[in-house]
Amino acid sequence: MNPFLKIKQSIVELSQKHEIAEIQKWGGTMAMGFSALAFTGSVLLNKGIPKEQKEFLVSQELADGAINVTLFWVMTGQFKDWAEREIKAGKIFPETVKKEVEKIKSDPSLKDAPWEKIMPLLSKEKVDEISKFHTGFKNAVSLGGSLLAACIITPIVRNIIASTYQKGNNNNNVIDKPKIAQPVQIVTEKPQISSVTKTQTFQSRAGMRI
Amino acid sequence: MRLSTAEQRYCQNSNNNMSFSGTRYLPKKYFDRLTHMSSFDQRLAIGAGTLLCQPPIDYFNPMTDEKTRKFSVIKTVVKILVGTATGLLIRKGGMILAERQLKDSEKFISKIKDKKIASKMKEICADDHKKKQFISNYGTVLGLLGVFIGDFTFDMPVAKFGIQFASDIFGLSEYEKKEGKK
Repeated sequence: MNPFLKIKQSIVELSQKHEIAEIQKWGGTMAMGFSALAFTGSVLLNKGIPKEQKEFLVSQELADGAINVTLFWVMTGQFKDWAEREIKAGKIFPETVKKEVEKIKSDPSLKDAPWEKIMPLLSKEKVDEISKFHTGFKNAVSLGGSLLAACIITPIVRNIIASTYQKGNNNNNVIDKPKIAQPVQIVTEKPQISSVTKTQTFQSRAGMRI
Repeated sequence: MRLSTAEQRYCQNSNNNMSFSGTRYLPKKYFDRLTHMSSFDQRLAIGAGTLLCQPPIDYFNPMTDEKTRKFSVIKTVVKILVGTATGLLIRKGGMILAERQLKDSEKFISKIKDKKIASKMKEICADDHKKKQFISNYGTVLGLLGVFIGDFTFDMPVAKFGIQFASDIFGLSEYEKKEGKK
């Protein structure tokens, strides 16, 4: 089979089997890693950046990639999971359906009822309205988590890592420098008498000409 | 072993410590706007947010010298601009390609040789909602593949040029120093 068709078939199979959130989770992680490597390469290949700054920028970029991936799994994913849990638990609703939901929840047996149990008791219009709102809420929480990670946490942490690495490197360079920096030149050759010509004059301690 | 009522309550609370204690009613208009947020919109929002926040954080980094800080700001701005532009173009391109390919679903299915995948594809194309979801998945996978290829073929050389260009403009390039000495 044509290799391109085989690749296309694999992509179709992947798209059939998995949900978009799962694809974005794995694909996003890989994309972040690849992006960090590509930008590290762009700094390393750049001849105009001095060595000291290059060390800082490379460690900053690698730290950026590592922190992004970690935060994506630890924080952003957790934000989204939390939003889904709250929705399923029947704890998040739009203001527009407050009366209807409170009426249902006034029944003691339905006080802590999950969304699945509340849903059949509402009209189709209201269910559609709430479902639309729930999708928006999940997206907002997920976006909020991503923005917090990418805009605040990642740049601060990666700068601390890169600065610490740069300082450590500078200190090592200072220690590595030899304490006696200037080599002593020893002259072993004897002065040649033949080099003294007749016209040259030497002055004695008494100031008399020889 | 039986737990006392107080212990049971403590266990329940510790399991639900990340949960709202009651029902929350939030303003609908703010969240409805985000209902149809695609990965394109999300990338755009993150690109704009990082462009606003990251350069000032780099510029006021108290742990390094001024020259390094300036290089850091240049690298960050170039990275965000190049990364966001290619990320958005590739994501949009992936979705457009997926929509175009599935416009004629019969032709799309006829090219799939594996019988299992083809029959599942027929099932998906028969349902409008499933088809839309598949197009979104397929476009995302195509876009992600594009991102992997684009990172090294486009982002890396363009970012290298961008950093060099900006360093020259702000007088940070070593080339300029050497030329100045001559």
